Amino acid sequence: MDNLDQELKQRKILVHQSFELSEEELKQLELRTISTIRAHKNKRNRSHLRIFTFSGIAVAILTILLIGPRSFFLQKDEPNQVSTPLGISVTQPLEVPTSFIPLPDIQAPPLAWQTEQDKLALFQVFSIGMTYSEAKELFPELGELTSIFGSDSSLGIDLQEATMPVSLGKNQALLTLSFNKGSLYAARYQRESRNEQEINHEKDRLITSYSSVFGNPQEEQIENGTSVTWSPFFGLALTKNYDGRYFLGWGLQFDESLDEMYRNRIFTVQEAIEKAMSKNSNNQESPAFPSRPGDSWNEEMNVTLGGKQKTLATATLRTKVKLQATETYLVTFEKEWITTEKKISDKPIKSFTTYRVTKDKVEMVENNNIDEELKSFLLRQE
Amino acid sequence: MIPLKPLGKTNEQVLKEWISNHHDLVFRTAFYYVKNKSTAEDIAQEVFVKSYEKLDSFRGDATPSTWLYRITINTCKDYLKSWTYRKVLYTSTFFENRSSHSVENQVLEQFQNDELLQTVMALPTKYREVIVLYYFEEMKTSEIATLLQLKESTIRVRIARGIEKLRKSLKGGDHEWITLTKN
Repeated sequence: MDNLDQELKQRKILVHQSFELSEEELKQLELRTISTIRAHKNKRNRSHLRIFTFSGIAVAILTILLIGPRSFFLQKDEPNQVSTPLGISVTQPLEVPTSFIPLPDIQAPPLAWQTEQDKLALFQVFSIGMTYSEAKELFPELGELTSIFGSDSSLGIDLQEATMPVSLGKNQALLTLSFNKGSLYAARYQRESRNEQEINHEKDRLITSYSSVFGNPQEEQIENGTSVTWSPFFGLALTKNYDGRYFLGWGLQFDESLDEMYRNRIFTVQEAIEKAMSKNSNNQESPAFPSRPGDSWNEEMNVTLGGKQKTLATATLRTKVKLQATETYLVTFEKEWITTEKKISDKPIKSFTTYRVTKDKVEMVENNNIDEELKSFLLRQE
Repeated sequence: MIPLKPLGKTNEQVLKEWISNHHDLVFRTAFYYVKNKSTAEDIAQEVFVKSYEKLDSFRGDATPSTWLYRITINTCKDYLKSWTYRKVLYTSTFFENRSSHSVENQVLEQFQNDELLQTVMALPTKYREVIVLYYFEEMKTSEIATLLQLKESTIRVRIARGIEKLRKSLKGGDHEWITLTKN
């Protein structure tokens, strides 16, 4: 039995090699799959179109039959007015249909998440302070949000996490996004292995990769393993479990108290936010944003119309931070607007400004503050 | 380092990533069942189309590979029950002597004339599927049980019986070619 068992195990590589597709074959598979999906969609759209067309024709016929004849009796012509057959008065200017005026919106470039290097650079993708729905929009395959305490919600519903498996080269890691009161505070990978040599090799490889971005880390011994940190924001740890399994975990994490502890040693997240905030208030008359990533405030866009105050939209204000390099942060002040009239837009509209902040310098790298543009648009709808 | 502004990753991007990372396991698994390269390619395409259409129901509690295994196995089993397959089966059996590309030849070619692999592929489906998933896909018996929706004890028994059948076949005692065996 053992011999045959071994023989079968040894065949695994031959089997896998026998089924590798060439690049050309892979391309063809991708093209054929996407063509089939698009063909299915067109078929559904044509079917819907037929239904809508027939319905539309039926409604039009009914309208003409029921309402058409009456219009000749109800309409009264003004002596100085020329009325067209459709009853439109030419003394009044025609209104441009508001549906032709586009809602202000910002298009962002697509996410790079193809190569292993892209995926390792998770600090470029995830901002401290982002929401689960934003993360889910980036990654539809992200799992549901669950309490980190399982079903016992009395221990703290504020702390939640969502996971998704990610292929890194030939290995699979689990990416865990951790949220506190709906805001991301950590994005970490984890891999497990029973092969000490392999997992240590992987650890060294990651340290080399991240050191090219963040410089040399600090290493320290921890219980059951080792930990390396490039800042209180980004680190890696390898630990051994009692059952012989090794766990390698790495990624970014924002801990306010830890950040505070490092304040005198390095340029911290909070310091970066403070610097960006003072620059932001100089540049525009905007209300203050939350000073901590993870906090959120609300704001209303109010106007006075005909002596009455009306709320056109409400916004959730957030401060988000991304790590760019050693002691270099991208701080974003963001407003997520929801219009009061759902027919105008049922999706949130983002308005934001981003600063690159170092110890010595704050520079605006992106200004997508569309508050005034949005207000003008909404006023035109009134 | 240039900051990237993330936009929603489209379902199409997810699909392309899955095709890139998992095309081999889907194609392999399909071949284990249908034992024909071009049919396995067609099934692989169908699997990715289905996975795209069901992407919104994909939950993070399973890995994409597990989910794709499941869709592939179900698609293959539907194919094996279909009229199309049975027509091909009867035709190839009838014209076996004339066909230069019969099922057995496909397997021979694919596995570079390895006797053990050919013998594995000649097993009845219920033994073949557990043997290939256990040895070639390196799944645990619990994972195979979940995938095939069987008890773990059933999986262990089938692996053991499959090994026994292999041993007999390799010694020359059992020549049940799958084309003539009820699955």
